[in-house]
Formats: sequence, C-alpha cells, structure tokens
Amino acid sequence: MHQPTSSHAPHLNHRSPEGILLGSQIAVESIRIMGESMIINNLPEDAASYLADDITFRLKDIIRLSQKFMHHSIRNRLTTSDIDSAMRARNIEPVYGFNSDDVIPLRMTSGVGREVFYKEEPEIDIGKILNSTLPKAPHEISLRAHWLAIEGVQPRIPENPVSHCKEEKEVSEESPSSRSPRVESSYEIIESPALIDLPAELQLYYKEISEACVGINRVRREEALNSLSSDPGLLPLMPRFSVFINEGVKLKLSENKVPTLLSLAKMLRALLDNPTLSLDKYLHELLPSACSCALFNYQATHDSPEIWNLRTESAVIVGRMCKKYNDSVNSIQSRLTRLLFQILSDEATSLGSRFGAVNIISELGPEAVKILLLPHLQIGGEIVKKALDSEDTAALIAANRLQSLIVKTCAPVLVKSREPPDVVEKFELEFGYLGKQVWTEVRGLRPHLHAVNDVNVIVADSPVNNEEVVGEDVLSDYTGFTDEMGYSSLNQTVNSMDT
Amino acid sequence: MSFVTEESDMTLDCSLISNMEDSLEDPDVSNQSISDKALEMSEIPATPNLQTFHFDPEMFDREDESTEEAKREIKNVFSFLDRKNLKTTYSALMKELDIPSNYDNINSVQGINSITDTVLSTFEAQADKYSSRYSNLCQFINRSLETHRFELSRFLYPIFVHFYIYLIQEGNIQAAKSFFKQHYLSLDDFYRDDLRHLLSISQVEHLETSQYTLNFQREKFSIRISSQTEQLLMRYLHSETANPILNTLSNNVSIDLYDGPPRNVHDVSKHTGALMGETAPSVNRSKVLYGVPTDQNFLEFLEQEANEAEKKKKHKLLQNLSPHKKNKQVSIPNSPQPTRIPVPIKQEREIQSKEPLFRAWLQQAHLSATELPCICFYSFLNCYENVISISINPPGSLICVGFSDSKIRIWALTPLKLRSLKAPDLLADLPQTNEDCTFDQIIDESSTKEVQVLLGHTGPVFSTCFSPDSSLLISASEDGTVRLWSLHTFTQLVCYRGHVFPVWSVEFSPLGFYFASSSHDTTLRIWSTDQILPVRVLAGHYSDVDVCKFHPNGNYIASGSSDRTVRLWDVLDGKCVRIFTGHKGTVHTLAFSTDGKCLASAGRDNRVLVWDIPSGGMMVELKGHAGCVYSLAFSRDDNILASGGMDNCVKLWDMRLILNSSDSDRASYKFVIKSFYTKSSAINMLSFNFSNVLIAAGIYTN
Repeated sequence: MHQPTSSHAPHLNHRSPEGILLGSQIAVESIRIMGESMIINNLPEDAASYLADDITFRLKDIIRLSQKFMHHSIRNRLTTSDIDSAMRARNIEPVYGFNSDDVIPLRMTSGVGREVFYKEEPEIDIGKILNSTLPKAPHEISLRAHWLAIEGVQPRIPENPVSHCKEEKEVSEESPSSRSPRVESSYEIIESPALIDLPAELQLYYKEISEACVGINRVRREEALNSLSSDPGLLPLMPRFSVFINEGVKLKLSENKVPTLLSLAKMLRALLDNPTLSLDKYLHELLPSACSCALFNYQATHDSPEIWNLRTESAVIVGRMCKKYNDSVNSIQSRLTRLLFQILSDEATSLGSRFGAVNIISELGPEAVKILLLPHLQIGGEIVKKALDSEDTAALIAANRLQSLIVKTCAPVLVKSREPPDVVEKFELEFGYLGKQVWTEVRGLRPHLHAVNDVNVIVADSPVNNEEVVGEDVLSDYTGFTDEMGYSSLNQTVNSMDT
Repeated sequence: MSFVTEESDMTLDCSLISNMEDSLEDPDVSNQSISDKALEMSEIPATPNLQTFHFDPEMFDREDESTEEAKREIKNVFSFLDRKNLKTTYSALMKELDIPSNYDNINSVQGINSITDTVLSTFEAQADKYSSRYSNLCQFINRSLETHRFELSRFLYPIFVHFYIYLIQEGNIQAAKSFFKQHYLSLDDFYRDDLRHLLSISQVEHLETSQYTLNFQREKFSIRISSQTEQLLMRYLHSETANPILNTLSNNVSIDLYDGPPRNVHDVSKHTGALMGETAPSVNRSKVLYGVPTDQNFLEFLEQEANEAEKKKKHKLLQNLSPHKKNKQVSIPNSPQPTRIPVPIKQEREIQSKEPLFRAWLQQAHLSATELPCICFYSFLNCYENVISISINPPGSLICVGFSDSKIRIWALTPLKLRSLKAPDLLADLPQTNEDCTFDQIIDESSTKEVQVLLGHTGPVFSTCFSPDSSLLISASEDGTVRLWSLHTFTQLVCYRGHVFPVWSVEFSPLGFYFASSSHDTTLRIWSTDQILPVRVLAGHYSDVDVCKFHPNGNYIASGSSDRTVRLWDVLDGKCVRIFTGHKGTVHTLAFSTDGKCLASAGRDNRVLVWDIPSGGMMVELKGHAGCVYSLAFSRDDNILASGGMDNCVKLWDMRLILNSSDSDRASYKFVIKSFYTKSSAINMLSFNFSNVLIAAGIYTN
C-alpha cells in the first residue's frame, strides 16, 4: 500500500454540504500525485479514478473498523493504535512509525481553488532534546475507592462532583406528564437545610469560621475565606451565615466600623464564589446588606481609603449577585436600577453614596451606564464642582475620586456608542461640568484601537443577553411604574440610609 | 492487496489497446479504457464471458464528458464488432442489455447509429429505473393511511440497499451515487453508520469484500407486517409492470405476516433497528428452561446454620434463616436438571470458598425504590486511557484490569492481599496426602503483594473474567487468543487459539469449568478448561459478537452483536433459542436477572432494553443515558437494575415497578429512580456483590 506522507497528502473532495453522511472521496488528482511519487507517470484517467474509488472504500472500511476498536477500548478518541489494530484485523501490515498518544494536528491550506490538508512536521533540534533534562516519569497507576452513594444519597466529598440538582431538574422537566406511583423519597428533605439539626462538628466549624472571618488574625482570616469559597458541604450552614452577615452589617453600619464591614463583605464574596452554593434563597438578606455597604453615607471625619475599598468591594458583590441570580420572578435587576436611579437623581445624595452607586452601575455593564449614568452626569458634575470649590478637604478628595470614577466608567461606553468626531462643546453642553474631562478621556481612547478592544473585552464579560435585559427593564421601569410591590427590603434599606 | 494487482493489469491493458488501435485504423479512438481492453479479451474465449464484459457508460459521463463522446465510444464498439464479425459477442451484449435485435442490424452505418441510440437510451432508462421506482414507492407510502404507513416504511431500507447493490453490479456507479443522494433521507437515522459504509462501496469487487453487502445478498431481510398491510402493498406492486421491487421482495426479503390491525409507530419502531430486520415472534416460541435451581451447597449450609442456631438457642438467627429455607426448598419451576450440563464434581475447597458468599447472602440488604443501595466506586488514576476492561470476582475481593498495552493487573481489595503458592522445593517438603495438608500450608505467606501483573497477550486485553471460585482468570485480547491464568501461581496455564480475529468478550460459566468467548469473526465459542478446542461454536450473528453472558443456571448463553441483535443460545445443543431485535446500535453489555427470567441489554444506542425470556418479547425500553452504556447489573433481589456508561453516570431503574406494571402502562411510567454522576470517570464495570452493595469502577480522566 502506498504510504501517505505529508508531502502529498490526499486532496479531500467534499462533494456535498451534508458531508457527515455523504462523506468525502479521494480525488483522482491525489492518486496521480501519489503515482508520480512512485515513478508511475501518465496514469490513465480511468485507472486513476478506479483506484480513487477503491482506495476510498478501503480507507473508509479501515476507519469504520478502527472505530470499533475505539468503542471497545471505552474511549471517545480515535488513536493511531486503533487504526493499526483495524489494519491487522484486515490482514494488512500496519503503517509503522505513526504511533502517537496525542492529537495529530491536521492543517489545511487553500489556494488556486482547492484545499490541501497536511500534517505539520516541525524540524526538531535533536541536540536540544539530548541536552534537556529528562521529563518526569509518569505516575504509577493506582486504585482509589470512594462512596458514590450511601443508601441512595451522594455524600459531599471531593471525589464526587458538585451537586447535579440542576440537571436532575431538567430531566424531570423533560417529561412533566410522566406519572410515577412512587412516593417521594426521603432524601429530598436535604433541600431545606434549616429543618435539620446541625451536627456538632458543623456547629464548631461555623463558630470557628465566623470568628476567624471578622477576627484580626490575617492568616486565619485568609484560611477561613478560602474554606468558604471552596468547601462543598456548606449548604446546611447557609441560613446562619446569612443571618450573621445581615445582622453584622446592620450593627456595624450604625457603629460605623468600616474594617469589620470590609471583613463581612469579603466573607460574602467568598460564599458567592463557592461553586457548590446557591445563594438565591438568602438574597433578601444578603443583597440589601451588600447594597448598604456600597451606598451608606459613612461618617468619616478624615479620608480613609478603607471606605472606598468597601464601596468598591460591595459594588462588585452586588453586580455579581445581580448577574447570577436575576430572573423574571425576583426581578433584582429592575429593582436595583430603580434604586440607583433614585440615588443619582437626588441632589442631596452624598458624594460617597454617589461613588458607590456609580461603582455598582459600572459592574452592571455598559447598557446600565448608558441608561442610568449618562443622564445624571449634569447633576453629578454640579455636585462635584461644588465640592471642589469648597474648603473641606474630605469633600475635595471625595469629589476627585467620584470625578475620576465617572470619567473612567463613561468613556469606554461613549467610545463604543458614539461615532467620532468628538466635539468638546457638544460634550460640555450635554454633560455639563464633567463634559470636558469625559471628552479628554474619550479622545484618549479613540486613536488606540487596541486599547478600545481591551475595554470591549471587559465589557463582553457580562453576558450579552444580560445587557439587553438591563435595557429592557430600565425602559419598562421608566415608562410605567407597574411593579410597585415586592421591593420592600431594598427600598427600606435605602430609606433608612437616606434618613 | 487488490488494487496493486489491478495496476499490473492496467499496464497490460495499455499494450493491448495500442494493438487494437492499429487494427481499427480509426483515428478517433484515443480514449484507452478498461472496457476496450475487456472487449479485446472477450474475443479470445469461444463463449464470451459476460462478467468480463464490463461495459460502463458512466465511465464516459463521469467527469462532465458529453453524451456525444459516449455515443462515439459505443459506435466504435459496434463498428469493431461488425468488422471482426463477432456475432456471439454481439448477441451476448444485446441479451445482457435486454434489447431485442438481430445481428443484421449493424451491417450498415445507419444500423450502427440506430443501435447506438437504443443502447444509450437503455442505459439511461436503466439508471433511472430504480430511482423512479423508489420515489414512487416513497410516494405510495406517504400517501397511504397512517395506520399502514409505519409498517410499509420498513420496506424502504432493504429495497434501498438492494437497489444500490444492483446499480453497482450493473457498473452504474454514478447512477448508484446519485440514487443514494436522492433518497437516503427517506431512511431512519439509526441506519446512518451502515449507509455511510454502503456509500463507500463503488466497485463490484467491494460487494464481495464487504460483510455488510454479503449479508444482504445471502440472507433475507425480515419484516413483520400485518396481513392487511401486505395486501395493500401487493396491490400496489402488481399494478406496476416488471417491477424490480417485487423482485427484491421475493428474493431478498422474508415477510412475516400476522393477523390483526397494523401496529402504530411506537410498536413498529420499538422492534426495528437490527441489521437484518425484525425477528418473527415465531422464532422465539421454543421453550427455555430459565429457572435457576438453588445451589445444593447453599441448602446444606442453611441446614448447618439452622442446626447450630438451635443448639445455641439463637432464635433471632433462626428467624433470619427461615424465609431463606422456605424459599429455597420449593422446587423452582422451569429449571433444568442439575445434570443437564455435565460438570466435574466440585472439590472440597471450592465449596468451602463459597461459605463467605452464603453468609453475605444472609445479611443481604433489602433494596427497593425507596431503599437505595450503597455504591462503592473504584477509580483508576494515572492510566491515561490505557485501561480497557475491568472485572471483579464474586466476593469482591479481587479486581482485574486489562490494559491496551496487553498487560493484565490484579489488585487485592481486602487486607488479605494476593498470596501465591510456595516454591516447588518447599512444596515437596509438605505431606503428600489431601488429609494432612491444608490449603494454608501450601501458600507462601511471605509473598503477599497488592498488585500482580500478568504478561502474555500481544494486544489490547478487551475482556477478563474470574472463575466462580476465584482460582482462575480468563482473558481475551486483540491478538485473537483467549488465555487462562492461575491465581495461585499468577502464571498462564493455557492459551486457546480458535478465533483468528480480535476476541471482544469472555465469560466464565456460573457452574465453573466452561467459559465462552465472542469475537470479531462473528462466532461465539464455548470452551472447557480441560481441552484446547472449543466444545461448541455458535454461529449465526451477521456481524461481530461484542459481548457474551452466561445465564445464571449455566444452561444458556446470551450474546450481543454489532448486527444490533441479542441472541440466546442453548449450551447443550448449540441452538439459538431466542433472537431479540430492537437495538439501534451495537450491543455492548448484557445482564441476566438473578431469577433468570429477564435479560437486560444496552449499547451504543444509549438505551437499556429489558427482555422477557419466557415469552421472548421486549419488556421495556429505558431511555435516559446520554452516552454509550457499557455496563449493567441486576441487584441480588432483582428489585433494581443499575446501568452506567460513557456519560459518567450510574442510573438506578425500578425493576419491581417494571415487573408489576402492565404493558400499556409502561410507556408512561418513569422508571429511573436516581442518577449518580462521577466527577470525570466513565462507568466501565458495575456489579452487585452478595450483600447488595453496588460495586462500580472506571477510569478517572482529566
């Protein structure tokens, strides 16, 4: 048999778009080239086409058989050894020297109206291989046992995957009509963890963790946060954590203890990061807490960077919660936008709260910026200007921070949504005092295309449909205030803060 | 290889044609074709061989060549025949083309012209014949009443395949391919793999190489339809004249008629999918002795336990024993005589080795839809997709793994480790008689190991199986051999060479002594441990036999194949007693229920089918897996069926509910109890141990 080599790999001739079933055929042209490589010139047309058909049949036969070997080896990936086995089964000498455990990349190049596939064969510097240190020997095969289920319940141990509740839900939704005479089995009680008495070890764990999280020992705090963000079995403790954070925030806000608040925010962030937990049942406690941290009007006599950190951190949490848990039932997004709208349009809002609000908006994505932040630039600008003109140093610093944050948030969105040229007068007219700074920033972003691209990537982090939802929600929010019920907790928080 | 030899023919061909060109004195002949050469060859024998007369008009219009040229070629042929006065060849040609004509026609130029036109139009008509017939049939089926439509549509696949084969046989490659492309969408999805193979066939030689087309040509495709539907079809077919469909039906299709209304789409599709069609229920009528007689040793063990308990006044234990005793002493209906399959008398040690199993049996956990089993999962780490087959011995103390690098490794799962025999010189010092020497004395206590490696095979090890008493191991490999290993010395005892092709599966009989192997060579063989030749060769599958499994009473063996059927064979006389059709993909795993009444099978079509052995019908079709199912296991009390496969998921099905529900209810019930996912391990092996703990094993891949 002719050995295929990279110099003249077969030209595959895809005869139809339904190539999956109709398959491909080795082209007559390839047969000619192969013939020439074996010094058979002037291969007659019909001989070549006969050979092309025959080789196609035989190749496909081998591939079909090699698939069988793949299936029996319980793999989903065809390897060269499968092809060898298939050829041996057909009594053909295998092609030696093509053993590879890795994927063999097949490259394609096209030109002059045809496609050529070839195997890449880079030149290898043998000296380099000889001089390099030996690779590590592979690990010895080992056997490990674990319980996949104990009396029908899958234990939450690292060997088992994180819960597949979602998938099971999908399965059951698939056939809603199917009736089962079976009684609902007992394991489902786990869904409502509050009903279960906490075992002693979990109680101990809760005590240790909550103490460590708000304690002063930094190493212990890090460890505790790490545990919160990765341990799979925390679901039964969630109600306690939720209450702990909620009450803690309320208390510390009144006491104005920013460092503790920051610890609580970090704790919340860690719980949010945990892939095995779903916080959707505790949002009524956690989301207001996070919003409060971001928007509260702290009584600071002097500038402390911790407050700004806390606001930024909490804004990130609010943004992530909103993206992760927003749905048509809880409509977090629309409630949140309404809250932010109130804050921004109220002239009495302090610089700090305004800073928090802008931060949350920037987390929510470019659509939110467009709809919520841009219309409020005028008011924001005037407040900033007033603060800059005043004598109070704390206000001055706050104004500066707010100003740079607003500019930084608005500019990428404007760059994306507006076509050049950027006229400074137009910007000033539209955005008031901040117009000039925004214009400068936008101008700065314009010529560097790649810089713009970078921004786009960040923007693209939030799912596209989510952005659309923001837009829709906000529009519905401001065209008709239909949804008056149900945002008690959020509004309460805000009201309590404003008063 | 075949096409290398073709090539040497081709060089011969060129010289022949150049000679011919001179004699023809026709400057137009420049196209050197095989057909011309064949024509020249046909002159040599006295009676023309129609097979070598490989006239292929599609050769001409293959690559956009005009009909004009084809015409010229045909004309040349006839003028050549005329010149050489080859009357016999001519009449043979005409006969093959089915054109009534006498030789005088071609004496003139006009005569040649007219005959050329006739021949050309005949070819066109023939190429079109199948395609138009087939579309008419499709139309007829689509227009027919819905009650008949699904049964009628079963005819499409065999007719499609046969028409394609006819076209290839007639050398009409181009027409065959266009026929395929025009009509393949009319067929069911699960035929896709076969169709893909069919399309790659483009030469007459391929038809003889391909097992698939050979099956179609030699065997009859069976279809089951109601007599009403058959009448409808026949009325349609007889209304058309000289119908190739009718031809195909009478030669290549066997129709199984039944009285009553036609079946609906669900019933029809439930049973179709097999390579050679649906089995007639009449095939599955023969009596099967499916009962599993109670192990005599177990009864003795129970007796012993009861006596002891009575002595020690352990009433609780007695209570535990009594239901077993009651159950076991009733004679099981439909069970074969214990001597039906002859087995050597068991050794004392063999019986002793079963005692822990009996004890486990007594403490068996009761399972049901609300009392689910514990699942212990063994994962193999760092093996880089090298592990192919995993098996575990009945007590669950040893696990054996076959690797793609032809090694076999055995792990001990208990603290007892793997102990081998003492060296021969040490054994010589021991007392020679049975009574004086216990088994523990011949074991070398210092040689304990956790892993043992068995070397011997020269290809991937596709299957391994422990003997019931765990003293022997059998293995099957790609190298075509089956090897028997001793688990006392960890060496090879016998190499069985019978299958020439890769052996996919081996299984020990529950009685011991016998074992079965199944192979790519489409046979299933039954061997005994004391002979190197097979005691039975069971042939009948149309494609690879991918898996075999003994019935718990050891009298029958089930096999699953790539022809998408499951068969049940009688070990005693080697007859096939059941053929189950309904799978839509290769069958990769089989499992018998403990009472021997049900057989479960699963494979590439991602579904688990449960068959009722006494009636020979399908009990239920269990859908839910998202990947190929590689293992099945019935719990020891038959209340739960476990399945697992490529989708990294163990599913538990409610067998109790399946058995207790009526046929009509089954379609709407949900039988799956729960699914357990692994992190990243496909389920390779499942087995319930005697205490009803489900043992699963797989390879961890990252």
